[in-house]
Amino acid sequence: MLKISNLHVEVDNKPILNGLDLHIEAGQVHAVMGPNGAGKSTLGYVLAGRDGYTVVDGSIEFMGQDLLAMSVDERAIAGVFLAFQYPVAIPGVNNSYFLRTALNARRRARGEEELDAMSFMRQLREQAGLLDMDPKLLQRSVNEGFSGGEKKRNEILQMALLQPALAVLDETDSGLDIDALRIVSEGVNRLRDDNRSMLVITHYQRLLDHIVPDVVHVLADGRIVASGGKELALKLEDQGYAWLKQQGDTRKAS
Amino acid sequence: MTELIDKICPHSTVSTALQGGDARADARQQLLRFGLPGDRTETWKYTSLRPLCVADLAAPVRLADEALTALAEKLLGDTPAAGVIVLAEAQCLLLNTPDWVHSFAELLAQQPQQASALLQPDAQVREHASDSFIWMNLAASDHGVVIEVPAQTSVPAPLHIIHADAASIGDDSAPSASHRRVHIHCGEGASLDVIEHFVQGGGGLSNVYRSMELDQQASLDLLQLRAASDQALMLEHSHVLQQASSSCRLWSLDAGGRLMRQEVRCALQGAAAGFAHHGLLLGHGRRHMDQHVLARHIAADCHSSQLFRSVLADRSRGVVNTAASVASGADGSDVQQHCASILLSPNAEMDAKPQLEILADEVMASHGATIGQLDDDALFYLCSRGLNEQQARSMLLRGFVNTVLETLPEGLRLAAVDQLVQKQLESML
Repeated sequence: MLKISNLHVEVDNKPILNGLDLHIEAGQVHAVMGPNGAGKSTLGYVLAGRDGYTVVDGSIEFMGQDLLAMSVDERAIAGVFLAFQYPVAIPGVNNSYFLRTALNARRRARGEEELDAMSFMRQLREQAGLLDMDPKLLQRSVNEGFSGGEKKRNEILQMALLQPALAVLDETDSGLDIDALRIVSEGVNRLRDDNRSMLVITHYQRLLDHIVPDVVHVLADGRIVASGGKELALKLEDQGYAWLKQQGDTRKAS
Repeated sequence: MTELIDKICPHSTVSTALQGGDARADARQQLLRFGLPGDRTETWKYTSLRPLCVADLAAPVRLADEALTALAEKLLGDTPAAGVIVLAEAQCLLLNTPDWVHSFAELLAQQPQQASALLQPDAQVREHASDSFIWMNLAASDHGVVIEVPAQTSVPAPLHIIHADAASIGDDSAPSASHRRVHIHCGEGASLDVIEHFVQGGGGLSNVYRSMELDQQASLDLLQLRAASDQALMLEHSHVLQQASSSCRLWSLDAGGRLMRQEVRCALQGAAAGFAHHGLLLGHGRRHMDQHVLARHIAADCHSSQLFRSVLADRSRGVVNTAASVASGADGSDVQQHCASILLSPNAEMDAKPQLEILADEVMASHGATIGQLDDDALFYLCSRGLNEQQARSMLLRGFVNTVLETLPEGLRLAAVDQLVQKQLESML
């Protein structure tokens, strides 16, 4: 599904990712944890194709295609979805109109018939109901005046409608209370299947209690420094990142 | 300067052909005394009359009524209407209008005394004596419309006023200078919606002086759809006088013309009256648009709202001067002003000037102005959901202008509004 090899990325001439390798198979959920400033959000933005993130070396292959050669919207149409850490408010643009335009852009690009307003609204209401989302939010401007939790639910709602092949969740748990965390996680889990992969970026192990990953990676200094099963997240929660740094120093010395 | 005045407002026309007697001569005297505004006139600082100076203007021509009727039918289709008024180069055509709608020229001929009152400068004109184009209008307006809604009359559908010229009906007569007088009086408790369509197709000047008087509890909603050609010159003054608990709301959708300037002054004379002027300035090419608004809170508990959104491409230029003054004793006033602009080109220019003058103690007032570009974060967000850049930009601009469009009441949300805005935005991307 996704194969990142030796990825080097700079922002304003400052190296952020320094030779990152990551391989995600179809149907797998990978978690990326790591200290502040490790480059976790950069990884999400590079996958989505944001301007200002310069790839100086390495490659990203997504479903057999060169992801780096594609524009932001082409990536989205191909099936990459980034759930934003800080979703952007778009004043004056009706939320359901936006979602329908996005969904139909994707359907059109794939040669599928556009969804009419009635069928779309039915689908939208059903998905919003599953996320326990206030229906009024669908008629308001995109994310405008939404609480932190409402914005995150709106991200997962978009994901549920767009059905991406690869979902990158950038700190989806931040700003969520315990109940909201459960509801949002259930929303994510409903989308897990054999053909869909997920990359869950988080600071805290608690999200991984709800979205149980197949593989956990630790990102530090712009590269993956450790990978393991879900028990790695528990160890990080218990011991922090210091032991990894020591391990790295020892490795360098030897 | 006198040469330009003579070009726009020939002396021969004023002295011989027009009815109105001494008032005409006095107005022309005032015009000559104050001259035309220049870059040293504070309220004209950002707007140059150059497009007017270089325009060749001939005398207005009389157009065929049938052609103007056909234009109205084509423009309005089955849009609900309480009547249609076509103001062309030098004529006013009334189509199925109620009996309280009169042609200004006919009123001048038939009831000169009543009509000549409309040629007298009101208090607001006298206070701002340098408003040359009003003096010019009082001196030279040979046509227009007088609307007198009787008390307690609620008009079920909007009245439409179409501003046309020879080119609007495919007539190839040379562009002209046209001076139009529009007067609207809403009696006590009356309510009226008016939609003005500006569809001038040539490069002539239309100089409109609009006066609006609202008695107690009267209500007037006026929508201006400026869709004139890229050469049209439009200079307008709108004066509003409001009594207690009346409501006047004005929407200006400026999406046409080479030069457009409107100066709006509202006097909130009766308590608890409300005034709103909301506008969109959509510019491309070398279009220049200028909206000057002043809400004067004279009585207590009045509210006013001035909300503007501008999108400017190419070398277009926008000017928005929102102003409110709250007189001593006008306690309980509520004043809102906001003006936001997006520049799509490094050569576009916006001049925003919000002003507040508050002499009362208990007042709620807010004002603000922003000028910027399309938000990169928002563009990325939309593209990351599969919209291409063109679609994303269009959606952001549409959202930006919706802030103003959403304030339109149901009865004024015509398909033509959407079409005008969409067409204009698409031409800018």
